[in-house]
Amino acid sequence: MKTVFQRRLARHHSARRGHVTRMPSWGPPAFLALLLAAATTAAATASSTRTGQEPAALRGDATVGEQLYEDYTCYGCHGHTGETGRGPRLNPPRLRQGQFIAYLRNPPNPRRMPPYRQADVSDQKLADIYAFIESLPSASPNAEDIPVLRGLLEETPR
Amino acid sequence: MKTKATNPRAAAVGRRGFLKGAAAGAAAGAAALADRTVRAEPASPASPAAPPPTEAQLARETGLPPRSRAVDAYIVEHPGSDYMVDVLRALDIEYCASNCGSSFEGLQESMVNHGGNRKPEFLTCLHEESAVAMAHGYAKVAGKPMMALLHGTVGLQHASMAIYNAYCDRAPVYVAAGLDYAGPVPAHNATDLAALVRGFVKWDHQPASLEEFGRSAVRAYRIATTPPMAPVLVVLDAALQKAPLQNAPAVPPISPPRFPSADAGAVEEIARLLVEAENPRIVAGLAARTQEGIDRLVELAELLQAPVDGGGARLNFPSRHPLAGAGTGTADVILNLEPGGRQRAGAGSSDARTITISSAEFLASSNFNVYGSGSGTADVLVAADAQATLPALIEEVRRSITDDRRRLFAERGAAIAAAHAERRRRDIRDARHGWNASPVSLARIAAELWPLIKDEDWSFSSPQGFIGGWPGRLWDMKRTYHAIGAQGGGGIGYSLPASVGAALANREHGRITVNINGDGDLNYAPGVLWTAVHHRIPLLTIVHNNRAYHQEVMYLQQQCAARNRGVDRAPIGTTITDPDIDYAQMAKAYGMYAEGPIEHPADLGPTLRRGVERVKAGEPALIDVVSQPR
Ligand code: HEC
Ligand SMILES: Cc1ncc(C[n+]2csc(CCOP(=O)(O)OP(=O)(O)O)c2C)c(N)n1
Ligand SMILES: [Mg+2]
Repeated sequence: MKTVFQRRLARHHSARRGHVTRMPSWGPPAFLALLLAAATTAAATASSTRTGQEPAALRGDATVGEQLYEDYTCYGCHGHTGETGRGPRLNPPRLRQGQFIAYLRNPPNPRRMPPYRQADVSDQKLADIYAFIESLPSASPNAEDIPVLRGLLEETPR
Repeated sequence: MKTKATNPRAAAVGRRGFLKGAAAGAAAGAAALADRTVRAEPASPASPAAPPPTEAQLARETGLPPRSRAVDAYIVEHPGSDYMVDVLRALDIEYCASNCGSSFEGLQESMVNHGGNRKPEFLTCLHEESAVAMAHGYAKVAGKPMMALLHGTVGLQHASMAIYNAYCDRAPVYVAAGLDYAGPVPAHNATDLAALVRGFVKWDHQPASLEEFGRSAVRAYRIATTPPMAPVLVVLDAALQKAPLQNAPAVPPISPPRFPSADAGAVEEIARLLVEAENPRIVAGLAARTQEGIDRLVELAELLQAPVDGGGARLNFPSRHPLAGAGTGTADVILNLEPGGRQRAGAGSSDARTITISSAEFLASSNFNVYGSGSGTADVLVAADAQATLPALIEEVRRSITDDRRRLFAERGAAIAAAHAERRRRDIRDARHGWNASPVSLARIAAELWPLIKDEDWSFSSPQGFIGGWPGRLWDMKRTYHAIGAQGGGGIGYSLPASVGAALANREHGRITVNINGDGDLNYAPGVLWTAVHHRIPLLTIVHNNRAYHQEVMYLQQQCAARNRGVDRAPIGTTITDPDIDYAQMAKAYGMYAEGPIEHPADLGPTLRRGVERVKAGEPALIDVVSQPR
């Protein structure tokens, strides 16, 4: 159970991103994920991480995932749009969904990227977070298309 | 004759005064301690050497009714604290930041009346921590100390963290504390007041007579400004301040501080190691005390074609110099210059030879870890001031470079320059990430500020560790005041007051001061916003408002994960929401121009521009930007 404070906090964090134009949760990426999920068998289970195999794709809900991304404080190290912060950029995703879930269970450097255990964040929740990250548009134009950065690049010796 | 206390409003630097100051400042050049000869000024307005007639004498001469005995006994026309003000003026102390208290009411009265509230000018502070941190920031720009005047046990305790920060940062702060054994609150007294902070001031003294005060005041100044620079404390007994001044002692002679440099043997050894190294690296922590330090370091690096890792705190080396950065490959010889604060001594290959020149060795008796991690050990460890040692080291290196070595150095330099340029391009490209995101990215804040200040004389006053180091990565920094570094002791609650102090020192040069201030840091003692407004100190503060003590959010996340208990409760006790704080309203309440919260990145540029305009016009301004956590 979340405390009122935590719910308030979570709402606050998501409200703050109001200005980013994002694709609707049921836009192409989530829709593709759904197709993929339908195409795979129901064998998409939590136990697959234990066997070390990549689990089959789960159907993720980006709207739920947006909340979970804040609740489980991914924003703390990856930024509110997965593009800033101390950790690497998550947007666009480099890993496929199965690899993503496996990575969060057993990150190679737990001192840097905390492991997320099954009991707190089910595979389904991670699939939701993944769907959210996938649904995020890029807020990162090319440096050449940002006048001040282009100017700085031009001042830098080749 | 007495000088009237100056009207603070009349004395305030308005727009025209600010710009005029710019011209004068440029002509005079920054007063740097290294080059400055401290001398006594001509007699102050009411010189104690030639006391004006007393009222009793006047009454006798004018035939007016004489003063009653009771009134006569009450009035002290020439108190001891007048002499204290004369000494402070001779020391060229321009400001006294203080939160008022009866233990120094005598001195305060002398400052405003006898001294005419000029040199030192009394700065009204709303917290003692603000007063000392202002003096800390001021010292790093002005290159000389100002005074922080504190009230007994309570004022000193409020001030103590800021004193500690300055101590770790090797910044000279002239701390004085009033002590009144006959005062209204006995709990404000102590048998040994200085004991409260003795572990982190370089010297303290409680003079027993005015004569002794003169000697102590001058000695304290010299100790504070001799490397390792540090805060000092003079305890001012109220009885001394209030006693009648019979024959004012002379102001003791004031000689400029000397700077301890390495002996010839050490210099020779270091030069040999550097010249023979295949891949040397210089790591500079608190090395550059003045512009001279930056210039000499450039000279040494260019001679050797060795990279200089500036340490990321105060500026030691121009950010766009081709030798700036960590260089290439692994270092086989590492020269650490004044490691300090959070900085780690440079690491190289496991068999790298390490050399450290550090004046902090002279503080070896300290209870505290002021050396920076790992710098207490080195293959060659020299107790000396690094900047003062550079000229001899440069000469020795120059003498021992052979033509063969010079050819090799040139090749090395070319590779380092290429790595430097590549690094800069990567940094600029990285700044694009999250450019259009809301909350606003820290890279964007720094990038959008740059075109607004780059053609001005500017100064960046806050630490860069929590803002991704973006100013240093994107801006062209080459003067000491372009980046004055961090807290020293890592004590938060520093950025805001230190920036106000830095801006005060920058004001006379017409320089714009920019401060990117964490919301957590800002909340410790925000009253200094009022001080900036009241004293017309131009400063642009941008609140990096991630609505959190975000550093601690991340630590707690790690801890939750390490105990395998889920990470979702990490915001408890580490975030600053519910309710959200409206920093623009807060600044406005203190009388400051303010805008925000800025949440949409498109609003950032125009808002920053308005803020810079205000500051150029001579007033402080605050902009609250809701920002990405890091
Ligand atoms: C305390 C900081 C922190 C938190 C909290 C955190 N991460 Fe990370 N994350 C990191 C760091 C640092 C790395 C890089 C680790 C490395 O280099 O070994 C990383 C790596 C990753 C990667 C691998 C990226 C790649 O391309 O290799 C993914 C995926 C990821 N994190 C997702 C998440 C998600 C989802 C959450 C929230 C449920 C989260 N992280 C929370 C710090 C964090
Ligand atoms: C006096 C003091 N108290 C507590 C800390 C622990 N601490 C380290 S970083 C930090 C958070 C600072 O918050 P803020 O200035 O908003 O920076 P952010 O990490 O959010 O960018 C705190 C509380 C400290 N260093 N100093
Ligand atoms: Mg913060």
